[in-house]
Amino acid sequence: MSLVVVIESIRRHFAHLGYIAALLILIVIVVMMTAIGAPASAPYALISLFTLVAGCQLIGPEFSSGTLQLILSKPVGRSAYLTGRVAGVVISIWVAVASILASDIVGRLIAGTPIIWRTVLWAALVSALKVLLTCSLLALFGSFTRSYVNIGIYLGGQIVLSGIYGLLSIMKNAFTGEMAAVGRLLRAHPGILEGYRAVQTNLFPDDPLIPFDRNWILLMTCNAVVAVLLACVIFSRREVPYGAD
Amino acid sequence: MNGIRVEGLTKTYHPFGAKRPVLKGVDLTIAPGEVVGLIGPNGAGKTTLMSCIVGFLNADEGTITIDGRSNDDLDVRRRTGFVPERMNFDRRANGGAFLRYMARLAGVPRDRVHARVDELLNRLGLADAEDKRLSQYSRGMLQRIGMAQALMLDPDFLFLDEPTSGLDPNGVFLVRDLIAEEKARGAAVLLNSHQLAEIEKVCDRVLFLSGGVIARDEALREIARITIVVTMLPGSYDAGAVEAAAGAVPVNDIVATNVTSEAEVAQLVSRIVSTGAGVIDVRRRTADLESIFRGEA
Repeated sequence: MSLVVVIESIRRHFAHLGYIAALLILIVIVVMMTAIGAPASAPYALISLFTLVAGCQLIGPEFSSGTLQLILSKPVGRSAYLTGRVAGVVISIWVAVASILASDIVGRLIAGTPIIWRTVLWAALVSALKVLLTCSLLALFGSFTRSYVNIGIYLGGQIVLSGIYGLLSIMKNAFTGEMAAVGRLLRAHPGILEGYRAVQTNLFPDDPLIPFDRNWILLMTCNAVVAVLLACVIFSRREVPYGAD
Repeated sequence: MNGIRVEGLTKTYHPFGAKRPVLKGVDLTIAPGEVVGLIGPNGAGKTTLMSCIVGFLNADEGTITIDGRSNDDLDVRRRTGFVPERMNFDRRANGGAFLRYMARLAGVPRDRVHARVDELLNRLGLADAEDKRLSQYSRGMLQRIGMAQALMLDPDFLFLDEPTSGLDPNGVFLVRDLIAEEKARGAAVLLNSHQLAEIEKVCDRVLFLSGGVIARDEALREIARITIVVTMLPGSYDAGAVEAAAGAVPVNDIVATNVTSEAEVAQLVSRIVSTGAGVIDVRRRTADLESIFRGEA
């Protein structure tokens, strides 16, 4: 990982007026939500949008703008660059998560609502891990596409995988008609649906039901690491055609 | 130090499944201290060749070595400078911040970053624009800052893609001087340009890329190739005597002849003057790139 790239990525975020404005708006919204007694996890819903906006710029737009050629002509390995970018973007969004956590606590102190530390900290940790996985996936999808296609794959993947799972679940219960054969197959081989569901939950995990669920924390961390490693392998072999789109 | 060596380089693009061979076995060498120009018609594969050498594209076949090592070796990159035709970077960054980032990426020691950036900004005439955002830079200023980032570590291998494109005459002179300085320092320079006059002025050798191969490899500084063109005052000379002195018939008061050594230039002029001819201009004409281009394109 290149520390220079990490620092530059963070600097770029904090030098961006849009990022600072979004962060301030986020803080105000969180304080207001807390004041009306919103649950601890509610403010973090806003982080998903924040992550998508910041994460989609991870690598794809650099292919398209021609920035990447300039950077790759320097003595920095491609994997070191990519992991540096992921770390820089993740840290920048984690600052937003930390700001939400602090605003939430301040809001609760002002409103006089009791702070349940276990719940508050778990909500922040869930959000931070979701940021890590989302950015890793966006890096993976960006490693073989250009421009903002990574965000398209990410959102499209979520919709399509859920849609297909729903469809397969319905088909599984088909006993008559044209889908009966598919239904028989899915009932005879439950592993198909289970395997499909495993892929879906690994890429886009559901929120954990148990606070500080170690398995969930491990799943998120491992999947993020695997996604970044795959992204590095693809990116290191990828051609970077000279010139902008 | 070895230079840049390319052997049997082939590269084929596959747009929508079709096969489009661009480079069909390119061989070239660039020695340290040599400036080589790359010319050819649009679509000849000049940019593809440069991209393969710098390591942005993978060659299908063939080998590329820079100082005897692979072109993706990080130590080779540390000694390489690359100037893209169009500078694209985070346009919100200011010139100074951009160069400092490039310096850190290039591995300039932390305590030297600011000093080195200041040196380059001064050298490239951008000191006043240090705090300006890149979005406010003109095309010429972007070219200059592109040149500055390439020279960050005094590279041994310099790749320039249209470095004078968009520059005003002062900028062109500056780039010409910088190339001469890099050559004097011993850097191997590959210059891709459409500006034949610039190539003639700065390059030792020119490669004409056509049909996916190096169709011609012309040495521009080879004295045997240099023609001396002498212009005489109309009516001041005897054509027969000048022909005998120069070995060529004067046409329209101009006599053009080849020489084989530097000393012979002075002797030739002296012989022509001794016939009583009023010599008003003496010029050296190097290999005519325009004719090469027209002939091969």
